[in-house]
Amino acid sequence: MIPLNHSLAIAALLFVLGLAVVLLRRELLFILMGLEVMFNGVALTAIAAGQHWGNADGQVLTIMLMAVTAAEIVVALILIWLAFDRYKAVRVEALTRLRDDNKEGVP
Amino acid sequence: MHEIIFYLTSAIAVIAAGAILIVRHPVHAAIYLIVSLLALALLFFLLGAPLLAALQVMLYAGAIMVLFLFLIMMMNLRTGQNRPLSLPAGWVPAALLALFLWLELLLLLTRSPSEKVGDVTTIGPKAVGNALFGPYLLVVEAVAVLLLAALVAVLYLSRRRQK
Repeated sequence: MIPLNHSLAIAALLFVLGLAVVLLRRELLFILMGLEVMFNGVALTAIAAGQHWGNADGQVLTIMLMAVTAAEIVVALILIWLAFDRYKAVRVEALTRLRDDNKEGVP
Repeated sequence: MHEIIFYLTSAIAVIAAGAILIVRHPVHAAIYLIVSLLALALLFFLLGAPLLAALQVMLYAGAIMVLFLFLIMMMNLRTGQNRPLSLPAGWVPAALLALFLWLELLLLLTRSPSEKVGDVTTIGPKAVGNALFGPYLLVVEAVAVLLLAALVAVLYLSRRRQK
């Protein structure tokens, strides 16, 4: 039996790695993958805690988390596709349409 | 034996998640993400949640990653378009602080008295189903509404642009 502490440490490490991917990578797809890693760290926390106290609530929370992630991922992926399709933007630096000093005027 | 597999698998999950940070091509990152998700499914199984291990493989590593790969295929990215990781200036102090914080958390977790360590208690699909459709029925309804909303949003966003 694995103590709860070790599972929590691994989950925290996964969450921090995902956060680092979100903060350091500039490609839109990589940012989305970092979000996935962060979600999985949270899921590991929920399941480890649920197993530690021996009830099914952690697993119910994780099932809900998976459904929410699926809904989030389809909307985010179609937004990335739209950004690529209309602005040829793969990286976040290209998405500056809301800036004030836009030379190209209103898109 | 059980513990060795657990720590080995968690090392695989963490290393694969760290590899996403440094690879260049999106397909490689997707493959590393699949490896990390599969390792996490094994972790769920070892913790005693077999239903969630199966769902992790089917939903994450199956469905969601297929969406990722499909989009990467449609975008047809060349490696020239994604430069390797270029760290912004002054990232070292922030990274050191984050590492220090994690070590502190690790110290706190190892110092706190560990409770009784028994056998792995497996919570099977039956108990999860009873909880899901018993006290948490409202959550299922909310997720149904959320999925419908996501479907409507995707259909709206992917409509053909009017010229």
